Amino acid sequence: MIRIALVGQPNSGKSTIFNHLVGYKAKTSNLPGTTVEYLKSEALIGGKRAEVVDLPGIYSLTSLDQAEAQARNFLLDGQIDAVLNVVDASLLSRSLELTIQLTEMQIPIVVCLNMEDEAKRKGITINTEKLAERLGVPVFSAVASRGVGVKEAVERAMEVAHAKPRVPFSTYSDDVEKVVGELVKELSCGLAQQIGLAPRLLAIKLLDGDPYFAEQARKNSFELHQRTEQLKDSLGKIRGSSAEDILSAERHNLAMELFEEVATVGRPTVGLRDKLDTLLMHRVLGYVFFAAIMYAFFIVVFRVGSMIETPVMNLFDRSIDMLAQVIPNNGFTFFAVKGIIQGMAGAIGIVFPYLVPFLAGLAVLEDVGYLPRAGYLMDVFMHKIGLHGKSVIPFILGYGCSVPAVMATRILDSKRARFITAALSTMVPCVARTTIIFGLVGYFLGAHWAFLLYVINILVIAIIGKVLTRLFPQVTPGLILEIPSYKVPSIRVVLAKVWLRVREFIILAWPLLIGGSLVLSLFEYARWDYYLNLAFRPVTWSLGLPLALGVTLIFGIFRKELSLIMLFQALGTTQVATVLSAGQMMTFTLFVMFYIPCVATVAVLARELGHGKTALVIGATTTIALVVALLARGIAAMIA
Amino acid sequence: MTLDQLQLGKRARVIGVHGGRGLRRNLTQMGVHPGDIVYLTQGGAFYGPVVIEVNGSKIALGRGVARKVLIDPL
Repeated sequence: MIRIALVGQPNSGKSTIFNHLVGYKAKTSNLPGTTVEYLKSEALIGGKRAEVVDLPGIYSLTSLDQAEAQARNFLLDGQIDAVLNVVDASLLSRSLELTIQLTEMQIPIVVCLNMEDEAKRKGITINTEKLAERLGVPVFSAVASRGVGVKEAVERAMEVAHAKPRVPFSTYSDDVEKVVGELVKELSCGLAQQIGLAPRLLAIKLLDGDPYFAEQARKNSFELHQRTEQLKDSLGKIRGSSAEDILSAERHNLAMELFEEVATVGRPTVGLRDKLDTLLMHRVLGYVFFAAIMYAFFIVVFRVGSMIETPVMNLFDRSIDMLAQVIPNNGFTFFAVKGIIQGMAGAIGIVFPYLVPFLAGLAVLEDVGYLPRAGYLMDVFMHKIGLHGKSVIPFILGYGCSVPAVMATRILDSKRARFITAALSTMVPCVARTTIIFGLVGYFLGAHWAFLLYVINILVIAIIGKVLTRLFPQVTPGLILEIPSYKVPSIRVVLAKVWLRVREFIILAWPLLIGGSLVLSLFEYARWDYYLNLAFRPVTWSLGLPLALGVTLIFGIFRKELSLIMLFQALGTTQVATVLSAGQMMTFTLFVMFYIPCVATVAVLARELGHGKTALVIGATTTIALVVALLARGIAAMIA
Repeated sequence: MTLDQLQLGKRARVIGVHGGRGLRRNLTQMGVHPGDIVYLTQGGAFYGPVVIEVNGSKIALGRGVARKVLIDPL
């Protein structure tokens, strides 16, 4: 099957195109190996089946950070039949540098100039035909959010994937080309053939000082390594700069020349969107708006959720009562059916009502482009705990789910920052823990108690962050973060994002919820739950919680929301307030908020950080959970 | 003079970047090159990052980074 990769800079709209091609019902799956974030899916393009791969956004192919190196290696593996280079037309001059690098790879390529409307707003008019002629590859303009022009571009990508035309590359200045030519001679029958790369591409990569290829060259032969260094030096001497800087400047010049030839820049339309930042990124008002946005987000999710939770839970409660009248309430059948009903109820009554509005809200914030602004605003505070503003993005994603949060740490530049951010982001209450906070504390004690939990959470994370940076001291690299222009969120995109996660919940978690609830109910029938609870007695005893809650903590390791559903099951009622005191609810929720990350998160941590550090995270979070919950118990006792 | 000293709303030409290879590369691929004109749109509170506009894109730079960008105010 033909395989087409979507490649482009961050925020160029690759994922929008991907969703457009693949539709909501498409089967997305992870690629084998370590590249979970590469979405791939089958799509019908011009009546033919093809595989579309959505690579993470990259600025260039000169790999210094992990995400870029991976994307590049993936492209070079030779499994790609064509590249669809998605370009933000409003940032054409900058984006062309990546396009130039992509043509050097000699993979059939089609350029899709996305966000044409945004470019127009900025006063940029692009002559597509001229660009196509100059690059020697097909160019299409599109507005992917409205589905305009995508079909044409992708169908053309299919054509070039079949026809495999030779891709012309841009030539650099004579002195640079001369050095490239010299190195190509050395490589043609040697290393380039061995690793199956175009000699010219390899030569440029070596001159660019790409660490991966430099290592390959060193391993191949010492002479080659020496020759490379010699050529780099001679190039540097001609221009009085380093080889890397020269190549980067060359690409920039090529891109600028091209841009000036094909585009005309007129007067930009200044609109509301441009003025918005003077408020939202204001040095004082920005923080006020940030707090207001977060608070409003929280309240809306809570209101919507609790509005649905009450009637749905009542309905399920009544059905269990009715069940008890139909069949004897101490028999096997009763316990089995009750377990299943409670499992269903947990999902429909508790998880969905909070999950859906939460995901929708997060998707809107993401789509609008607010997250990088939050990163900018939070940079100062993140520095206080030894991180920088970029780390805010994994944290915010962590409110959705810890798994993408841990993966998003790949955007960070140092190993240390990655470890600290990943470790801390697992403590951010994900949507599953949010359902516990809202469904238990919010529902029974009130929204403000739930809000307090979030505040405590942030404080604890800040303290731990401070401790971690003391333990692993290092100078924080500075923030460099692109602030994309605001976009009107597309309902399609938001729905697609929500659906992707909800579907995952339905397929993966719901059966587990029902199964878990069933198992627990049967344990109760057989009176085995006592032994499980006994195993967790040290924890429940020290926190002053009922014995029956032990089992909920075990289930919570599999899926966090199971803790709440199991709680109802274990206590035998959804009217928790009759059995637990306010202090106990707070203590329990705080413990659940911090202790061992769920199985899926542990798996992704192990992959991203290694087993040792993952074990450290598990141990540390459990200790933190115990300490915080014990404190809560103490304070609750003092108040009462 | 360095970028962190530029006044809000003022423009400047980038002369160079006084930093390691990684920093230079990160800045160039975001569109900040020697010779480019930058425009300071936001200066963060509490000695936080600054926001510049360059070649049509907006970029937030931490103070430490801004301090390494040499400029010539216009």
